Amino acid sequence: MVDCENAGLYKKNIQTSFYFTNDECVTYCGLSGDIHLIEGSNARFLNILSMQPMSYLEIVSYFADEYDCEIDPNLHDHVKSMIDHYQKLSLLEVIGSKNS
Amino acid sequence: MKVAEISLPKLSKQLHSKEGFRFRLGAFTIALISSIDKVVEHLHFAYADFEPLPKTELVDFHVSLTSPAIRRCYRPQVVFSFDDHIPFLPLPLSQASAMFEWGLNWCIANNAHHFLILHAAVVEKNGRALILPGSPGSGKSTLCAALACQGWRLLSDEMALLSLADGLIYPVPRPVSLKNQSIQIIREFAPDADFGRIVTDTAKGDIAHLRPPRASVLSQSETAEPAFLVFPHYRSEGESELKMLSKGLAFMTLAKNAFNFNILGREGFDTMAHLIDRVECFDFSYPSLASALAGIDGLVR
Repeated sequence: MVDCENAGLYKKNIQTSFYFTNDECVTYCGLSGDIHLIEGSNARFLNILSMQPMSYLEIVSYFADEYDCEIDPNLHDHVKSMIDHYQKLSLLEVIGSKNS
Repeated sequence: MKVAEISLPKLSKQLHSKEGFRFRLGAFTIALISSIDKVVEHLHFAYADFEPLPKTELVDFHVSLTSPAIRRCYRPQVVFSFDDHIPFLPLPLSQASAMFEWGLNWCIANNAHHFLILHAAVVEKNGRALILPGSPGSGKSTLCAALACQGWRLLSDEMALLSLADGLIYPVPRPVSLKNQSIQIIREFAPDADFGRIVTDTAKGDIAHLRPPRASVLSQSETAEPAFLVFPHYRSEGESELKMLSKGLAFMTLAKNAFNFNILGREGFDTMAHLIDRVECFDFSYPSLASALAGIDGLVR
């Protein structure tokens, strides 16, 4: 899993197209040609991310609001896993790094 | 001049010529060469309302159906070729008309990439097109035939051509291919419907072609605005059920029903997104043709 906390900003992968409708997002990866259907809070997150890059902590904060929960290790694990998954699907990419 | 007004011997002569018989089919021009009587008869009957084009007309698809001399006496066969390329194995000669229709489907699906091509029937009424995607057995062709017999404009029973340029649907009002029980269902539903002869024992069973309505052929250059996307499912029992489908799920399902979604890449994705934005999406289960027509009637009112 990537070191999310020390990464820079996350943004929509330039190779990827999103189609948003209500609480859903259909994603298209230009590299693989794959499409995916993403629903609910994750779709809303991608919608926000498609408009502005977000740091890891901003993403965690977003999901804490979405799930109406405390920021705890479980939430960190959930967000890290989601970021890792979406990076593997080429939906997200990182620009810069926290240390750069 | 229409195909029906040409005598069979004259049509046969034109089909024999090296330029072939040329006609417009929606956005395409076809040149067909064949010396097979069944092809001449099929063209004369099923394409009766189409207009021949001059031999000088540029052609999109040069196709030919021939019967190899070596097999003319023993189990005669038909061979389909497109630009001198033979994409399929030969079939029994008795299936020549079906092979022409399947071959033309293949030509369009594999070459017309200025369209997003959906495996779907399309009909139109009052300027609103109804797209009926479906895998074999879903009943899309049967529904399409019944709707065409009820006065809907037939755009296609097999493929919806969605233009990448303007997002509109371009008609290809070809004969509706009905299989097995569907033939009798439509015969009973519309006793005046014009059917060609039944081709038996094909890979898909028995097939009969329903001649496209004259009005649909005459308006084959008129595009249609998509309005409804309905995924039909025939089921032998129960009540008909029309359920709204989320646009995301409709997108995913429709992508599986597209012939060239992967070839078109991002352009295909954008065109499909534009389509889904403009249509109402439904999943439709029905146990009989009557209930299906009532459901669709209720939908479009």
